[in-house]
Amino acid sequence: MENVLTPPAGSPVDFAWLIPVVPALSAGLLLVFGKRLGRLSSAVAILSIGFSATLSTMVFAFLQAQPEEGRVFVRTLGTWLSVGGADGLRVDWALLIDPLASVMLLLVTWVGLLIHVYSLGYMAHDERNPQFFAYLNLFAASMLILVTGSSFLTLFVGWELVGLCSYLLVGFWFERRDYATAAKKAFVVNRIGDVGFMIAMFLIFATFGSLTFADVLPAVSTAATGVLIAVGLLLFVGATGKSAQIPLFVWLPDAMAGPTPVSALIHAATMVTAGVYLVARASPLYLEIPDVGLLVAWVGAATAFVAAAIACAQVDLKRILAYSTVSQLGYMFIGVGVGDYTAGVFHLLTHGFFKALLFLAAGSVMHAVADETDIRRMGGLFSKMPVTAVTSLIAVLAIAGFPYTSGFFSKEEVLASAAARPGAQGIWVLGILVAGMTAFYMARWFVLIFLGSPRWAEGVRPHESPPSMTLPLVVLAVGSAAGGLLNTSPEDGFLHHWLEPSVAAFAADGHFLSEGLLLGAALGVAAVGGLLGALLYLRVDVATVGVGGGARNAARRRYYVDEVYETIVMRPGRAMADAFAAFDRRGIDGAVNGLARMTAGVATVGRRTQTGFVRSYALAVLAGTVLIAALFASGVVFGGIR
Amino acid sequence: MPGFPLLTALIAVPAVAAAVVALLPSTARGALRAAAAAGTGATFLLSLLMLTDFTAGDAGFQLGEQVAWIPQWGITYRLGVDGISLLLVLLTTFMFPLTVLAAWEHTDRPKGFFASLLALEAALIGVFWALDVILFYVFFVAMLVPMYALIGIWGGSNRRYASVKFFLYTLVGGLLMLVAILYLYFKAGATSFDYDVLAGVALTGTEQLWLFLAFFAAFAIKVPLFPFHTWLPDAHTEAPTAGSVILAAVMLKIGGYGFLRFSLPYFPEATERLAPVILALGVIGVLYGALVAMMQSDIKRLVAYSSVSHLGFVALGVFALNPIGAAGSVVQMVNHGLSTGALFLLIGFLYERTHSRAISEYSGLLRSAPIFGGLFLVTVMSSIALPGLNGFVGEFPILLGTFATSRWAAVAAAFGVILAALYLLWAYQRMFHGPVEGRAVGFADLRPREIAVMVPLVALMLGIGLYPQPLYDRVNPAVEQIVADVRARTDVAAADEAAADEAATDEAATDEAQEGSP
Amino acid sequence: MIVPAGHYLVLAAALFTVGVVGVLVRRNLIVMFMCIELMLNSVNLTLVTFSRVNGNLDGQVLSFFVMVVAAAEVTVGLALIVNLFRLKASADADDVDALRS
Repeated sequence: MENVLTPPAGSPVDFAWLIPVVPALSAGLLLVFGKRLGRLSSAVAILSIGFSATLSTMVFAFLQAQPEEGRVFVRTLGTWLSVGGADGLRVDWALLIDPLASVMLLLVTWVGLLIHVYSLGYMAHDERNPQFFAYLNLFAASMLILVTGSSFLTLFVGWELVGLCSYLLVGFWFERRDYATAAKKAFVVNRIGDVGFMIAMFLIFATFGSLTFADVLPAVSTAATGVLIAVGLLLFVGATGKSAQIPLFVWLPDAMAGPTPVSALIHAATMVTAGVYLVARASPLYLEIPDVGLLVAWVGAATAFVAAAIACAQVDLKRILAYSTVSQLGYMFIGVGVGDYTAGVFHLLTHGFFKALLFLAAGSVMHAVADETDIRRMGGLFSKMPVTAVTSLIAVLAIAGFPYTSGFFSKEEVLASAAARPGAQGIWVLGILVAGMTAFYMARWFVLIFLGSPRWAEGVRPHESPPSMTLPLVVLAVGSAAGGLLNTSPEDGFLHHWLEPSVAAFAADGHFLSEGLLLGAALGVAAVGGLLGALLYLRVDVATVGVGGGARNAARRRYYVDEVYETIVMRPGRAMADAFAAFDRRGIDGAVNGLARMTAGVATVGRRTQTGFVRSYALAVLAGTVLIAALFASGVVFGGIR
Repeated sequence: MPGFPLLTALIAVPAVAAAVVALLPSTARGALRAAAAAGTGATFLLSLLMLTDFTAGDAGFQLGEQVAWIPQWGITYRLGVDGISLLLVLLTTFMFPLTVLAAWEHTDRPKGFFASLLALEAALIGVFWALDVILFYVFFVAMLVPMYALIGIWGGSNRRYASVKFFLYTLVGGLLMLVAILYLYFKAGATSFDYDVLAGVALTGTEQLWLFLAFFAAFAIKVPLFPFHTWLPDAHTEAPTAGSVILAAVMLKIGGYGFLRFSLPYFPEATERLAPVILALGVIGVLYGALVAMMQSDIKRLVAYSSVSHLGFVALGVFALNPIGAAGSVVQMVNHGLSTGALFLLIGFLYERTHSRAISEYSGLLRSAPIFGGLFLVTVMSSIALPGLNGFVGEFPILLGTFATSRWAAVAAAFGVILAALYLLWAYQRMFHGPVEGRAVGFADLRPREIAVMVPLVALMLGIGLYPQPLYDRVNPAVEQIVADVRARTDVAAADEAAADEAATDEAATDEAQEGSP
Repeated sequence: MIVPAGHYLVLAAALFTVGVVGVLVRRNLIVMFMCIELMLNSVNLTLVTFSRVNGNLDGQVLSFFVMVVAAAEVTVGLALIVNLFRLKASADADDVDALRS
């Protein structure tokens, strides 16, 4: 970050600001004129995101053509905030285009484009179709602001806006009350994390006097370690909210209430990875505080494990994927936590491919079986929808880490880094365990949906989805299968080199096991898990799926986390709010009204003297006059009459 | 236009319009509202001249006007504008035409209604312009009367209680302030009520404390700060839409304005001493207002408590005593005016249709009235300080500035951000989401006139959110000067004290030395 | 023969007392009103007397003021009484007690 350049005029980077602006303008256009545009609105939306994707690719190519040390650009558009004079806050609207941002741009725009295309078929019959595309555009714009933000604050703008879009899209079918509740829950839980982010920014500003990455990140080594630890922890609190980690992961499974393309785009491929991106972006800071990094990794590992366990017991096809996402996000945090930021970002990218694919496939399945989501009422769909099934299989293999798929490379790299980090062996063990569980629940998912005997309801005619939906599946399947080529080995993979100017390098300390053993252990556990899942559920009696007590029940009920939060946070909170409201009415207003009543009481006593009879007033006047005269005469006042 | 008394004109135009409305026959509804629209519209257009006449980078008062008024007592008619009052007056002149447009179909005794509104506008602009303390006080009290009438005559069912409560609260604060003004006047030699003259009065620490508290009473009630806030929910709930809008958008801003204009420059040491207490009150207001808002069943009351919460931020920013926080406070005042004003306008449209403010009687409004629901959501998002909309660009600098002064206050207040999302989105969800039920059935979406009221507001929310610099350019110099002034004067006082202490110790030391050497 | 000033003052005091007692004991508004006039005129007499004693005209000037005010007061007062009589069909002061709740 030391060597920040201004992009040459006319280069793609110079126009990079159009990447978020065009979808944003399109969103505004569709929101205002969507009704009049009708079917045309989806075309506008796809064109705008297509534009961004093209420009992003050009930016990427441009960066690649630059010498390695000259790939960090800041394109400043203008001042956003300049508050409080010379020593005050100053934040520009500016884009930071560097290798990390460029790969994120590619992921967001291209996956975004595919999902826009997919929505063409998926949302074809929804009456609020233009609005949906407007929100998708708005989301893309927000996410692009997030990944190109050149300061903590501009990143935060995107960070909050994606939260808004998530709210709008999760609650897209707001007529259902539980969907609306899920939307609100997503927003509010995210906000809890955001407060951590905000306080981190206060602290950063108080320490460094700036919020711009280019000012702050090169200077981290000058700050006190205590401050850095606080900042690191607070930023991570923000990341746990957005990326659904313990303790703030509860919103993501509920967020599946949104239309499936939304789940694929926002709650799998892009938005939820923002936390990982943030940690990677702030990698120079985390490099100074390795212990906080270790904590991040532990939280990631714990989340990965808990979410995988829950995923094994769910029967809703989207919920399984949601918990799987939480679990895979845990892997990413293991990667960035142990200090191998490249590995974390690599897993972020491959996960973007295969998880988006899984969700889109799930949407395609739901499309085929009349919006059924219970995997117990599917089965035998392989022959009915071959494209969906085959692409799903590729994604399942990728997420399970089947050799030479994209997930294999990225997950192995994360695990290898964990093994190479002193003090992180426990994390490695958990990671291996989760790899096995992942293979297990994904095999279960695939088998129950596509294989075995048909169990769908009567009258349902499963069919393959239209090309607008299967085309994105195929493209993503290619990505899922071949995405590993990005970084075939931790030492000299492409991504490894590419990200060098952006993120701190990983200092491997030598593995505690040999590389072969590491790889063998991971593959072995995954194979066992996968085979177990496949064999167990191929011949299973569905009546026994999703029932059972003890540990299975606890996992199915998501370990009662929601209930616990309800008891220890929501209920006392409501009670406190109730008490305050009562205090306001009876306490403060009671005192005010009491004062008024007291005044009135005094007045009532005084009023007795006012009889209403003129003569008594006249008598009082006379008495007063006589009294004054008497006082005068006796010399009590004014010294008497001289 | 050199020599043109622009500031006076801005007070005079609505005042004359009020008189015109008062002289029109009370049955001529069309003429009445046309006159009101013309009056407020002309005032707004005239106020736009300020943008060219005002020099943005200049900290002092500009476009000053001064005429002797009651020379025996040194009372003058002195007006002037700096960045702070400029923004607040622009907010005022901007909100009034919209309010008139929103009340276009007002049928209940329209003559008195529009005349009161116009008179209110004149008085409010006068409050922000006045640079003679008595003149300020006169406008401060004058604005009470039309507002009292608006609530008391055109208000809801409990309007008497609400209007009297509003009047008494403000008057009590105002009278305490008057006493303090007179004390300052006599202390200064009883020659002038000029703003600058009274600012230069040398006061002892105790005097500062008491006078500060007297001024504080007037402004804390206006803000309103916890625990002086309970008049606000009643006044807001009972007031007609126009009253609520103006009350929230403009009148409450006099509190924050007064802090910056009088409390800080007049009593710097007392400010410094009491700032921690006021920061605490601000934090309490932010959190307490939000929690109480959550429990309200009346949407107007909910928004009223949200004002308590949002304006707690203003107190925080001002008493953080640094330029970032103070500038943020001024912008937050403008933003709160826009977003809460817009919320009250929207609730007014709702109430006109259904005559109910109970949250529980609505469900699925977004389905039956998508434009209404969409605009409401934008306003809610602006109110909960979503970046990209106006609320954020005020609130964030406030918190940042507060953090520099008092870390725990900023951290605690930051949690108000969560609570704001909670209570507003919860209310939004209950009223706008879900199946169409209750009073939402057959609910007509906004008409073109109502959309026309909202469009400028939403445009400004977005505009300020993305590019707040025009505001900050004008506010920064003014608040920087105020804060620097406070700092300088408290430093001098501290130095004096230290010197005195030192002298005392020296003396003691000498005494001891003398005793030690017989 | 010059009448001593004391006689005038005694007369004025007597008139004033008659007026006061009249206002206090009578209930008919017209009579009370006349008694008030009586008091005013007794004061006028006092003023003129002292004017004479002190040899300057201030007292006499003031008595003219009093007369003017008294005339105005009579006009307003009688109008009030007439209206009151229309409203209540009585001129009794004790019937007018609307302020007593």
